[in-house]
Amino acid sequence: MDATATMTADMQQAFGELLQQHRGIVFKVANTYARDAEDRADLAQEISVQLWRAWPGYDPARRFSTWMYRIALNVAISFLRSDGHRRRHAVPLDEVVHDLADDSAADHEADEQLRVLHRFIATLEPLNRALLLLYLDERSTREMAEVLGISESNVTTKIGRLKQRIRDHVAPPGNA
Amino acid sequence: MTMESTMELDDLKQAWQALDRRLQQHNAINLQLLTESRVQKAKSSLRWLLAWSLVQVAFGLALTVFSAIFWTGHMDSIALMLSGIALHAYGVGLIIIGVMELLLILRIDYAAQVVTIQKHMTLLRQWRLRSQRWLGLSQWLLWIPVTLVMLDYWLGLDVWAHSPATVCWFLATGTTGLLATLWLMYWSPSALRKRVGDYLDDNSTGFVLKRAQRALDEIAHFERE
Repeated sequence: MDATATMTADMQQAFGELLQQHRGIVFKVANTYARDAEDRADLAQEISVQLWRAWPGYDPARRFSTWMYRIALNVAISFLRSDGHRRRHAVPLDEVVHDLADDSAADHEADEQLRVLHRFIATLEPLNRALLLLYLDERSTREMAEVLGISESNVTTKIGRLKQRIRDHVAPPGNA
Repeated sequence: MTMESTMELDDLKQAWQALDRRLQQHNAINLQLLTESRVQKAKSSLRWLLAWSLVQVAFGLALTVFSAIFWTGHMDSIALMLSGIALHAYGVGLIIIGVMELLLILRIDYAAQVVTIQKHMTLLRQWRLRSQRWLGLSQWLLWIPVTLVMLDYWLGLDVWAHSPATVCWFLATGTTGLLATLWLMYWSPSALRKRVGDYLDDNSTGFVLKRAQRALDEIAHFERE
C-alpha cells in the first residue's frame, strides 16, 4: 500500500510547510539539470512528487535539506540520464539566465557571470554538477559528503579540481 | 584583463545566490505541489511498471508449467520435445527477468545517497536493456517451437513428422533474420548502425547499453579520490 495514503493532515501540513521553506532547492536543482522551461517545470514537479512519496520515511532527526537534496539530485540525475531522445535535441543550459533575465536589473555583469557558470555546468558530468550545486549553495563538506555518498576528503579533492576546471574553462585561448 | 580571465569559482557564488533569489520570485516554475492528478500519475506509472513485471512472471510461470507438461508427454517426437524444452527455457528466462526487475524496482529509494542510488538505477537500466534485447532477439527463433507446439496441441499435427523440409525452412528463415539483426546491431558500418539506433530509439542496439556502461564508469570514477 502507498504510505502517503495513510498520512495524517498534520503530516501533510508539516510537509507542505517544510517544502515551501526549502523550495529553493527544488528550483536550483531543476535549473541545473533541465534544459528549457518545459523541462524545468516537469523536473520540478517530478521532484516534488518524489519528495511527497518519500515523506513518510523521513527521519526528523536528520536535516531536512540533506534529505531533500538527496531526493532532488537523484530524481534530476535519473531525469538527465533517461532523457536520451531529448538529449539529441538539447538546447544550451544558459537559456535559464535568459529566461529569468530582469530587464530592469542593472547588473549585467552578474548575468554574464551566470552565463559563464551555466556554460561551465553544461560541460560537467551529472555527479560533478551535483557537487558544484552543493558547493555554490554553501553546504558544508560534511553535508555534501552525506548527500553524495563519498568521503569528506574526496569532496575537498573534487572541489579543488572543479576550481581548476573553471579557471581553465574561462581562461582565454592560449592561457589555459 | 577581461572579466572572465579573473573569474574564480568563489566569485560566482554571489551571482548564483542572486539567481537563487530571482528564481524564488519568478513565477515561471509554479510548483503545483501535490496536486492529486500529478501524484496519481506518478503512482500509476510505478504501478504500471510493477504490474508489467508481475504479468511477465505470471506468463513465465504458466508457460513453464505448460511446456514442461508438453515436452514430457512428447518424448517420442524429437522435434516436439525440443520445441517444448525451448519454450520451457524461455518461460524460466521470463520468470528470472521479471523477478529481477521486481526486486530492483522495489529497492529504489530516492532518499539514499546519490552515488548509491545512481549506481543501483544504472544497473537496473543496464539489466532491463540487456534482457529486453535478448528477449527480442529470441523472437526470431521462438516462433518456430511456438508454431510446432501449438499445431500439435490444437490440431494434433506434428509438422516435423509430415514435412521436415517445412521445419528446416522455418529454421533457415529464423536464423537468417537473427543473423541479419545481429549484423545490424554489431557489425554493420557505424553510420548505418546509428541510423538503425535512431529509428528504434536506441533500444535494440548497443548504444544505450554503452551509455549505461559509461554512466557506471563515471560513477566509479566519481567515487575514487
